[in-house]
Parts: sequence; structure tokens; C-alpha cells
Amino acid sequence: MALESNLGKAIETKEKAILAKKPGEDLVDEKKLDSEIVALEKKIKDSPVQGEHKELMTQRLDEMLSARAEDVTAVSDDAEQKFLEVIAVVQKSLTEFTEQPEVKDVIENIEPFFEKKEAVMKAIHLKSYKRRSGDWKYVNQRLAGLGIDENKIVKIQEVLGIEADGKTGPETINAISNMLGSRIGVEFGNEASQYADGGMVAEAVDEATQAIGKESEPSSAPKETKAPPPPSSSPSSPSSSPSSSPSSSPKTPPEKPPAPQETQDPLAETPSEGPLLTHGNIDQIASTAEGRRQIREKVLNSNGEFILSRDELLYSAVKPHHLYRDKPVWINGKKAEPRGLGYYFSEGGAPAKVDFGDRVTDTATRAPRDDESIRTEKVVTKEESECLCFAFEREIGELRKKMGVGDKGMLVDGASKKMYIVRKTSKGFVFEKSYTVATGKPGFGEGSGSNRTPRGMHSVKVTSRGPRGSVIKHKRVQRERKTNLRTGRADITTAVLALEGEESSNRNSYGRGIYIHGTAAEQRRLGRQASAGCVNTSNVDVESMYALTERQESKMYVYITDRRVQPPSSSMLAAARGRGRRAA
Amino acid sequence: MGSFCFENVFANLEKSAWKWYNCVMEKTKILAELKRLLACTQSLSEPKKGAYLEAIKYLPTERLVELQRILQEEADAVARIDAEQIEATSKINKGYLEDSEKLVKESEKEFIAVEEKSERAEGEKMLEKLNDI
Repeated sequence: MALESNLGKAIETKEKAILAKKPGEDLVDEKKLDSEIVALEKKIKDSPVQGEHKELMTQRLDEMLSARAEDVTAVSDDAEQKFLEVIAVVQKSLTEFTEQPEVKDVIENIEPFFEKKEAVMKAIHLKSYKRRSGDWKYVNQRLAGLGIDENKIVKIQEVLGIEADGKTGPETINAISNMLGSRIGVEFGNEASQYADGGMVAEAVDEATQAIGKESEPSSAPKETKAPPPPSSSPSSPSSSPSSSPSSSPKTPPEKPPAPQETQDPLAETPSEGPLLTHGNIDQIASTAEGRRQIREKVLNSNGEFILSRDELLYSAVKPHHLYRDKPVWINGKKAEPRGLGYYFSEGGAPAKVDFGDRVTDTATRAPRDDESIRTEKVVTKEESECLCFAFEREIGELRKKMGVGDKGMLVDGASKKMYIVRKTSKGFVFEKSYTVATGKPGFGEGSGSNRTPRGMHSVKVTSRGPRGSVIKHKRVQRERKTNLRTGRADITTAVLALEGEESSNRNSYGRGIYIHGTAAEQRRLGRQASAGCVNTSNVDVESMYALTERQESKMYVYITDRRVQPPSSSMLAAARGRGRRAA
Repeated sequence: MGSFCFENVFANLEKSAWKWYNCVMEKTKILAELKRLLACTQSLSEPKKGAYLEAIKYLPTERLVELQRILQEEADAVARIDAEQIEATSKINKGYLEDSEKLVKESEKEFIAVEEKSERAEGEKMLEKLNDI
């Protein structure tokens, strides 16, 4: 579903009306202003006056520009105030609307499920697992730990009008799952992210399985009971699982090799191109939290290419026949044909069905498409995190003053064009993820109209997002949507996190329109000094940053530094520590 | 007599079918509009938006019309504020451009005059020196 913004339409109409009202007088927007300023600067440069006087002229011009920025900020603040007033009125009307008995009944039953979406997803996956494994004792124990009220699920099935026997059954579970899943579709748009959709669901599944793994580690329950059965043990909903093909369909189950050694980590030995996870090693990999993290990372970094993990296939999180409907697919490099609910290909004369461990791609040899965003997200290892903490000690010190324990923040390393997600813990700071970004073309600075990236402490004041590739103007999502995300025009796309300066030197950041935002010129910009002062990210990365900011209840702090630092290697750090210990 | 009855029955059936079709079409249109409005409303948090998006499937048409009106009012008001902001910013920018051009022109004149004056003064000094020699 394409999200056509009504608001966008209305603004467009109004803009046209303004233009129609004053024929001959064009609106002077930021772009036009920028080009005029460039023309003026050229005029000063070409002026016959002496160099010192040219500098004085530029200085006078800068003063005027600052005054203009102040006026613009005042207008912006005024608009913000009016906007808040409108929101207050609408919220009041909505409260009155919700108070009506027939509305209240529906909303009250549905709303808690979106508020506790993650916990409900975990409960749903646990219940799906219960249906498949029959491990009632273990699942009930884990469900109790999640704090999900079973009565709420019963109530919602009343609203949804299913399973009138008052019990929570597979249909209810599927309905709730679809309902929560449909929210992802609404947020991203259906065709916007065939990969992100699967990825988000897979993330929820992964979190759920990791949570189960963590919780179950200290318990005395044997490991065999925790592991879900292989896909051939038939997930109950036929429409939601690729493995639930008609029973008459032929299948050639691969041979299961002997169980690998406990000390081996098959993923650690695999080359980076992504050798297939097989039935032989997947059990071992998925049995540890680290292994699951590695699988997740592999799927995340595969960019349009899926290696089906057991969890994804079992929980129907990745459905290749849905992802690639009406398209030919290649499974493990062999062209496959859609048949029934799954994909089949000929292997030695006998047709075989897609299974976990298979690599599914949409071309035989995959080259990135223009509409595919570049994912630069990387997980920072523990050792790297320690080195980065050492290198960015000063910046972290600033963040420490503002952030609470458990809060996440962002650190933009302007020198190496990286952004890090950091988390404050009771013991210190942890670097969790890194992204590649772009910063201001002329460098770093706080001057209005300078196109430089401001430094220092900022916080996210306003956020806005649309489907991937949608153009954002004045922090509002427009109807226009970019199809070329890699080499397109450098507009503000997908999502914005508008930054507000927290220091006296960068107070004007919000007025200057400094954002963290996606760009449609990913290939040209990322990793370079290329923006007009904003921090540019890839479209897929900005989605996760937006989600992180929205999830966090407290303020999201962003520290931007242009200090050139060289993180020490882990061996150097260890040696330094050793020396410290010896000295002590 | 029989054909008369059948005609009546078919006419009624057709009428009911059209009525039903129109109702469905109307609700579908309102739902589509509501989805768009809900996606861009800023008065609801993300979980609330999700709840509303799901809830509208189970609400009667009258309630949907009411909700549409509220959200449409918001969209119109926000659009108006935005347009006003664009207009005001444009005015400031235009003023700035006019003033800055004027400033560059005047500064140029001023500085050229200063430079000419200082050159003349220098020339006179040199002339004086030459005369002294």
C-alpha cells in the first residue's frame, strides 16, 4: 500500500493557491536562497575592492544571515506553537470520540496489544512452539514470565469474532499475529520493503528465541525440550508456513550428518560470502545465543538474499513464496518454479522443496538494484567496543552527564564518518552498532547558512517517517517517493530525526534544520563529506535509528564530534591493562 | 400473475443488492481515507495509531465519518500552518535577499571610495616627497 499523504496534498494545494494569489512573485525557499547566496558570494569574490574589504563585506553578509536565521526560527517556533494547539484540540476530540461506548469497547481491547507488541509477539511464538512441540510445561512457565494476561487474548478474540469457545486457539493466535504483522505493513508500505518486512518479523522472532535462550540457560530443563522440532513436523497453520505444502508433494529430505563437535563454531569457519547453513550445523549454531546472533547478522547483511534459518522457517517469518510471488527465484543458485505453497526445483530428476538452510535470491548472480537501500549496520564486538570507549573517552564523558542507565544514545564520529549506537550501563558504556554516514560538505561548524555539521551535544526534538524512499519536506512526509535510492537526487528521504542543540554554541541547530535523515544518493554520499550540514544515512539504516528513538522513552542524545581519534587495537589495550595491573 | 411476482422479487433483489453495494463502497472509501489520515496524524502515538488502524475495521460507518471529520480538521489546520510558515519564511528570505544585494552594492561603493581616497592620499604624499627632493 502506498501511503499517500493527505497532508502532502493539502500543502501542495495551499502552495499553489499562494502562488496563484501573487502572480509573478515566486516563493523563495531554502534552495533558491542558497543559490542566491552562492551568486552573492561570487559577486563579492569578483568585486574590484581589496581583499580585506571583501572580508568585511562577507562579515556584514554573515551578520545579516544570522539575523535572518533568528527570524526564521521565530516563525518556526510560532508555527510549532500553533501546531501544538491544533494537536491539543484534536486530542481532546479524539478522547471524546474514544469515550463513546461502542468505540471504547473496541479500542480498549485492541490497544494493549500494540503497547505490548514485543511481549505479545514472544507469547505468540511461544504458543506456536507449544502447538508444534507439545512442551506445555516449559512454555507455560515462560509465558508466566512474560506478564501477558491470558484474559486479554480471550477478549480480543471476542472483538475479532473468532473461536467462540472462549479458548485461545491457533486461529486467534494467527489473527493476532497477522494484526500485529499488518502494522509493519502499514508503517513501511507493502511493496516498500519486501526484505525489511521479513527482517523485522525475523528480528522479533530472534529476540523471542534469544529471550527464551537466556531465560532457559539457568533452568534445569534438558536442551532437547527447548529446541523446536524440524519443519517437517508440520506447523499447524497451512497458510502461514512454507513447509506446509500439500502432503502429496514430493520431498527429498537431505541426509543429516553426524552431530558436530561442541567446541566447533561452524559459522566462524565459513567464508564471508555466505556458505549455506545446512541441516548438519544449524542445530548447533541455533543452540547458542551467539550462534543465533550470527545467523541474524548474516540475514541482515545479506541485502536481498536470504539464508533461511530454522527459526525463520519454523515460525513462518520468512515466506519465500510470499516474498517472491510472481517472480522467478533461484534457490542455492538453481532456478526454481512456484508450485502450490512453495518453490520447487529439479535436482537430479526429483523435485525438491525450499527448506531451511537454503539460500533464496531473486537473480542467479545477484547485483544490487537501484531501489535497494545499502545496509551499513554492523554489530560492534565486545573488544571493538572497549577500544572505542577508550578512544572516545571525552565524548562519552559528555553523554554520561545526560543519559540515564539503560538509555541509548548516538555518537557521530565525523572524522571517520561513522555513527555509533551507545548504551549506558551501570558499569560504563557499550558501543552496540555502527553505521556509515555523511556529514557537511564544507566540514564542521555552527554558523547559520554555513552548510557545516554542528558539533557537540544534541537531542532529537522531532521525528517523522514514511515508507522507504518517501520524500520529506519541512519534517512532513510527502506523496513523492524515490525509486532510485542508491544514485538518485539527494533529497531528504524515509525518515528524519530533527536535532536540537544542547549547548550554547549549537543552539541554532534546530533553526538551521539539522537532521539525521536518509538520502536517495546513498552511493555518492555515504562515508563522505557531502551533505548540507545534516547527518545523512542510508534509507534502511535511518529506519532502525527512527525505531530506536521512538522506542526509547527518555530523550535520545546525539553527540557529534570531529575529533580525529585512532582507537587502539584490542591487543594494545590488553597490554596497557596488563602494565597497569603490574604497576598496581 | 407469476411473472408479475417474479418481476417484483427481482426488482427488490436488485434494489437491495445496489443498496448493499453502495454501503460497502462508501465504507471502503471512508476506510481508505481514514487509513491515509491516520498514517499522517500527529495527535496519536504509534501504538495508538496501530490500535485505531485495527479498530476502524470493527466500527460502524457513522463513527468512521466522525473520526474522519476530526482527522481531516487536523490535516487542514496543519496544512494551513505549514503554508503560512512557508509564506512567512519566503517573505523573510526575500527581504534578506533584497537587503543583502543592497548591502553588497553599497559596501562596494563605500570601499571603492575609501580605496580611491587612500590611493589619492598616498599619491599626494609621494608627490610631496618628490617635490622635497
